[in-house]
Amino acid sequence: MERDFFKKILIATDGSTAAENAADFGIEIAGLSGAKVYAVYVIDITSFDSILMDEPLTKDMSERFEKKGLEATSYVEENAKAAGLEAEAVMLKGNPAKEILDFVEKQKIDMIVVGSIGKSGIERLALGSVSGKVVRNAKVSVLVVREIFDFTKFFSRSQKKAKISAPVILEKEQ
Amino acid sequence: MKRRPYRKILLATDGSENAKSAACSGLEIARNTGAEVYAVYVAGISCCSPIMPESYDWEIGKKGSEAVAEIEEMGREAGVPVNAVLLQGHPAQEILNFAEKNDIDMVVMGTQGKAGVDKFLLGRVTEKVVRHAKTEVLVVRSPCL
Repeated sequence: MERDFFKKILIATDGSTAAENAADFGIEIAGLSGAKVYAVYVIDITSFDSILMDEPLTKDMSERFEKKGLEATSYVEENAKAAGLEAEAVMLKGNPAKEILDFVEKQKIDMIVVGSIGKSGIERLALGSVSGKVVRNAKVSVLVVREIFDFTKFFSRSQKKAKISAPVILEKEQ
Repeated sequence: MKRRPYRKILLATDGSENAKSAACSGLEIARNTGAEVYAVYVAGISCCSPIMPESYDWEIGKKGSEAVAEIEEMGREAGVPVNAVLLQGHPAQEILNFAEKNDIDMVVMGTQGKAGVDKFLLGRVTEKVVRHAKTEVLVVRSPCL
């Protein structure tokens, strides 16, 4: 067991609370072996790459994404540094899953930490699209941090509707 | 940290090399956190018929306890006590059930077990566990030296 335990850990973040949860967990694991933490945010340009947009709009978009990315990665970086670990914030552009995997290969990362659901929400209920791709295609170990999906939050919208419709029924009865 | 520390770790094994290296990573984490470790082997439902209960015992007794004993041995080397668990049924389902019943904090497993062909893809059992687990899942790919 004199193996080099996880020395470089990549924490993928998209600024969602699920990713922040995953980051806290990843930092905890990194703390066990004193690993270096890479906080990675990928600007997903696949969606607005296919649409023709004028330059000021694209510029504005990427500026916004960069700001968001900075927020997301600095959360991880700060927490990692607070835990006494070496940390580096990285921002990439492209297809999230692909960029994460490429980065892992280039930097010889030992372990990837991802949240189970990110921004795209309940697309697949149990496992997000990016996390799914990463888990399936990575060549290194992957830690999937579970975000228990909050059904009450999801159904709160329909509950609100029910509340609105209730007085209507009462009026009819009168 | 806000999160609770790892207290219970489940190592899923089917006796394959991959499962062993996964167990290795799991034991490293357990040694560092002082977590309780469960080595779980699930015998397939098809291995033994309910008509012949003696065949059930024999099958599980041999392959399962061999697989689990290997992990116990690894645990002894690492100084981590391992609880051996033998189950029968659909592997993914039994692993998930066991994790839920015993408040497991993290499931550790390899990417490919016995049915594996492609190195870079996920095994069927692993895929199911990753998708449906309510706990953290560590999918291990690094070999154990």
